[in-house]
Amino acid sequence: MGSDVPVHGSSQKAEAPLVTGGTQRISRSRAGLTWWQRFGEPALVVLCVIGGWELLTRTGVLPAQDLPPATVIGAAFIGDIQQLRVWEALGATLASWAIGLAASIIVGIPAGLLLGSSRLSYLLFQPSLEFIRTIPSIAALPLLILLLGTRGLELAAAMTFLGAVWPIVIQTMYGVRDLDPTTMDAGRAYGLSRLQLFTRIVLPSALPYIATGLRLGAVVGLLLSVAASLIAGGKGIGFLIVNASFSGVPELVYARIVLTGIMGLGVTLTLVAIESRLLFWHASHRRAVT
Amino acid sequence: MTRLGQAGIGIVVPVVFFSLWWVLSEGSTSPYFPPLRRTLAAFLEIWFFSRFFTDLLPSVGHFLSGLAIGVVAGVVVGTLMGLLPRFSRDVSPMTEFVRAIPTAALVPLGLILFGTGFVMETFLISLAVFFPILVSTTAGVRGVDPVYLEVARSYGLSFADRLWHVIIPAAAPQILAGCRVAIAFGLAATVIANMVASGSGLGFFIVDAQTSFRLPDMWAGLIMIGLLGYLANTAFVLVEHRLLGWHRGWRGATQAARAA
Repeated sequence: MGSDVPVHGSSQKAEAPLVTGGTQRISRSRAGLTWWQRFGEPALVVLCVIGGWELLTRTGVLPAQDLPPATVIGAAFIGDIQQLRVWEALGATLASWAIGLAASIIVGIPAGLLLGSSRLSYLLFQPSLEFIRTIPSIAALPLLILLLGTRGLELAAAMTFLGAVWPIVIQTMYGVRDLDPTTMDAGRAYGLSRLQLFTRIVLPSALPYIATGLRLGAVVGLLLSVAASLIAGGKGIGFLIVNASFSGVPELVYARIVLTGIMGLGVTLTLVAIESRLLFWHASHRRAVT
Repeated sequence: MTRLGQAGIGIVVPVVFFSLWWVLSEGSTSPYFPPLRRTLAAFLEIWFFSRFFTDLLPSVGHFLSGLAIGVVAGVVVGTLMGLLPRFSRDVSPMTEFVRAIPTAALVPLGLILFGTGFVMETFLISLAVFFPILVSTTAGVRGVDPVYLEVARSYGLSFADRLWHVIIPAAAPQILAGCRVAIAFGLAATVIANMVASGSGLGFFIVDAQTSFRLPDMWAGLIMIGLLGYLANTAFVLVEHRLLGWHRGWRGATQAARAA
């Protein structure tokens, strides 16, 4: 899950200002908050929800068979993360995800730059790419099981690639197309070479779009990597969840889902941090940094 | 170039692609890549006759009901989060966490809670749809120009009127941008739910075809899923044009102003 709506570099170009307006307002209101408002109260609410969960399951209002009490899940979680195979599964999922994502960056960014660089190729390929994007990549799983088998990391890596490459290509392409012609003209007037035009103008101005594509691709890729190991088996974290479910230990299922969530959250936060590092100069990030 | 000419050019790539597929696969002896002719024959036979009611309709039905629930819930909660910063701060640790869990990992949870079938699949699909809508609605509602709200207030509009005639329309472009992502996620969730835990549906069908080595059938299933994605997206674009007709005019005007 964890989809992000493209905040800037969205395919609907004119919406970008609307969105930046929104984030500016958020950061302005954030500035005036006390520590309690920002962290204390939300933490208290989380504790209340967990406490309420515990109470309702312990008293039998909710069926403890299907919904184990929070403390039971917590104990299962702590016991589980002391096992080596859990970390191996987590590592396998993250490794296949990283391989697939790297491949989709290597293929996707040059392809997007190429397709976006001329109006003709853009018009030729844009409708087809938008079409492909709507096809759930997960549908290719049975075919890839036949071609790659389920033992190694290849299957999950290939699924990650298949999910991540399209948003990256498409966003890169939009980024190149959205280039400000005035900036280009100025660059030419200053006598920049083609290479300089590319590295100093085209690439930086497409970068926010590429970052959005990467973020979308990374999230979709992680979903597909987990889905691959969940459906086809193999080494990843998905298989561990299914395993717990087959052995009929609900608290372990919950604990491993929580673990998967922590992994997903870690990936999302890392990406956001990298993005704001790379794009600190861009208007949509400037306010958040200063 | 005219709009029609632009659309015409876009047709070239799919036509070339399918022609190449047809020609190159015609003499194919690889079991994994059957001739397109055979795949299409299987496609017609399966989806218009034998599996229409057993696999296609249930999947479409689950998808649509999950989509409806997820969109309504996402818009309602997202509007609340957009209007009430305190509420938003208090629940966001939880929404952010659940949002970070890949949908596939929630299938076993759905199985524990609801068993297999309609409720479980709809639950999973609506959850996948809910979060993109939630995020975009929250951002959209928060981003409403305060001037609009002040004008509406000074004209004495009630809260319900402000919500319905000012806030929701102003946030609509963003909500719909979220819908686009949500449709893709919902469709993926439909297929995943079918694949893991079903005896019917599109996802089940292609996995079943693969394990019993009916490969033209598997390809036919793949094409059907692609077609559904395309249809869902086309339907969405039509709705979006309808709902945002007023907005496009405004956008055109601002773009013209910026270009000048």
